[in-house]
Amino acid sequence: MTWLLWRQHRLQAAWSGGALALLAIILWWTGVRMADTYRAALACRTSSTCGSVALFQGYGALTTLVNLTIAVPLLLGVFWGGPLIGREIETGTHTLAWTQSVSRRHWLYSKLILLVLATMVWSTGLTAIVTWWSGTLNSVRGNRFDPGIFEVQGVVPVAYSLFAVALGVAAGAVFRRTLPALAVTVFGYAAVRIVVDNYVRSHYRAPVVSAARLDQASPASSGSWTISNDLTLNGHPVSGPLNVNFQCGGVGTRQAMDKCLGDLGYQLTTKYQPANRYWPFQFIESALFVALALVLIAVCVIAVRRRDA
Amino acid sequence: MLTLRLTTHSNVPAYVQIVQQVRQALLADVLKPGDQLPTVKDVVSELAINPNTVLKAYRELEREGLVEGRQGVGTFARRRPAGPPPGTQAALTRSLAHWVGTARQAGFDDAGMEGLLRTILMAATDEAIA
Amino acid sequence: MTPSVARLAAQAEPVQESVAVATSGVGKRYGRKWALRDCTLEVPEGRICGLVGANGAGKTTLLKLLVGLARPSTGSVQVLRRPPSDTTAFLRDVGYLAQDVPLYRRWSAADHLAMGANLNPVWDVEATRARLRALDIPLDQRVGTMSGGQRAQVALGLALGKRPRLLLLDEPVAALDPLARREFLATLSAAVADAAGELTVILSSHLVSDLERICDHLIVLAESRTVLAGELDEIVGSHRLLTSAKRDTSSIERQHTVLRTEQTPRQTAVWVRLDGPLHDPSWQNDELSLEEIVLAYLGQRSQPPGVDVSAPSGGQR
Repeated sequence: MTWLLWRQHRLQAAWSGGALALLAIILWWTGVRMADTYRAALACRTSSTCGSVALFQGYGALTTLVNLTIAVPLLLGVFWGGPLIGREIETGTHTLAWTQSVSRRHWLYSKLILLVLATMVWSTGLTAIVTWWSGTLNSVRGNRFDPGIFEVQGVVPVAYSLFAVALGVAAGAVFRRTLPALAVTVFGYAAVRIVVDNYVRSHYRAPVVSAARLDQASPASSGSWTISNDLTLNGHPVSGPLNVNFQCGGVGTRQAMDKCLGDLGYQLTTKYQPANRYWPFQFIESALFVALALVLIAVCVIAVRRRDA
Repeated sequence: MLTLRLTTHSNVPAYVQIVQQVRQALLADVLKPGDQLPTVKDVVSELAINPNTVLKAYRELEREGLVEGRQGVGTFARRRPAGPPPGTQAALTRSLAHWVGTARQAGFDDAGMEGLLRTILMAATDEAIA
Repeated sequence: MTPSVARLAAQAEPVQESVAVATSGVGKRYGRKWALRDCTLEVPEGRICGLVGANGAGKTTLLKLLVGLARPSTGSVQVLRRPPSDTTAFLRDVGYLAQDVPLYRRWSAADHLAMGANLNPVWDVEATRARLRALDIPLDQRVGTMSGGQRAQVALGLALGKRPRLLLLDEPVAALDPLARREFLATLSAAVADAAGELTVILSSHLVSDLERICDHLIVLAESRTVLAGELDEIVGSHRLLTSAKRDTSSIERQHTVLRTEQTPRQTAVWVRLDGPLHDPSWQNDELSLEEIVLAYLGQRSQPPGVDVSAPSGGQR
């Protein structure tokens, strides 16, 4: 079975290994430079020897690329998961594979184990590089808990990838044709991720709600995930433009404006998840997607073992 | 090595055709006592027929004493069947071929020729008995 | 089991021969539709058995049930004296070649043989390579670029390489030109000769002339049921065409199994299976070719309109 797995997937292994290596080199090279620039900026700030430092200019394209790795799990699901079993059944070669002397069960489990291991290894490699590279940006911008950044670092990308390939392989086994399996994988993955992003994640633990005057610092420190900021007047929510020209019209600076509004009773109610919940949230979300992946793998196993060829 | 052929859609069963061809070969001295007959595998590789057909034919020839099978080695011709000497055999074959050519030109088809031969054989048998 | 099939089975089988395949009342349903029903047959070991029937008659389904790619809805299947199972112990003894000869198109023949060597406990490396070389099939060329005949030979080599005891072929020569067909059957027959009784083959095909050459056992399926099963010689020997001046056929119908009757104004012709000696010399008694016999069975349920045919009476199903 080992021979068969290697012979069938050696090209895929080569391409994906090569792509990962290339990305790793680029990110390593630029990441080192970014870190050096940042360290230099910190140093010169304390010693006040900075000229004009433009932090991270020219890294825009790379940052976009890193942000785009959010799509990688879906690509794995489509290219690794869907064809693994679905394509064999579609082309009829499963009757060839299942009538050598290897039992269908053995064939299936070997393929699934390969898929899961390969996905974990490759995805972990990519995520590790991306997380390391993003370290500098995380320190500067403090936005790693934000949607869009949260999903490409840490451990959740590995869980997303496992979910995507499990969805792909289950769709391939159930539908036995490339196109329906592809559609189900793409739309299924997108639907689940959108729902979790927007409606589920903020509820893993009850968000902290805190009110503060506008001229005070936000209770949500750097690295927290600010879910919403609502303006209140004496405790009641306010919406629409403020009509305070009479009271605060003449002030000059932003700080003075904030103080004036605060004196009038305006406050900012911040709903947020504190920064120290970052890793717990990563693990909770990962566990959720891994559980979904396990269910889908069970579906795949049933579809292959129970149905007639 | 002897080459065997098969006529499909003939009234004669396949194994009988093989028996006849081996017998003809022995009569014509194409196959001499001691020569090896083609193996079952060789015959079926050429003709794409069932191996049992060939085995049946060889068993029949063995029963008639014309061939003998040697375990693990093959089937070998044993003796020449009763029949005209090779020279006469060749002459008869030539004259028959000539007759067939004439008959065909005259418009006789294969089935007609076979029917005629059968009629004459039957008549000759009756004469021999009488 | 229908009375006629039972009779043939009883006549044909010598008692002590071992049986490669035996089914009993086997049926397979996909949704509401029965692809195969009420199928009972036996194929003795060492035979080359032909499987004939119209498209949709259940040939592919039967072969899939025998190799275990599908599970029966009713009835039982015994292959080499045990039911098909998804285990190495069973799969090593059964070779299967699906319709359309699926192969990995980007692989070479050598790749396929390597797969066979790696996935099967027993593998005959030399014989398989020699067979392909003798047919001038290049071992390192991509299979997708080969002709249909070459692909069929690679697939056959792959199925034979594991030295199976039963080989199931689903219309392997349907798409091949006459020369490729002849070569395929010759290779198959040579492999059976080599195996000296240890290899049983079941081969489905539309071409009765091919089956006539190479098979010694026959199964005919019509509308998802077995209508005929038995030794080829016995089948050809017992089916006759009786013709005479126009007359009543009831005496024939009583004693034998009538497949088809044709009445013209002057003549009566009866396709019949003789279930005993024919005592009436007033019938002209001619042989039927295997093709005519098979057509008579396949055409039984659906006679073409416009032919003046009397319906066959009971005693056959």
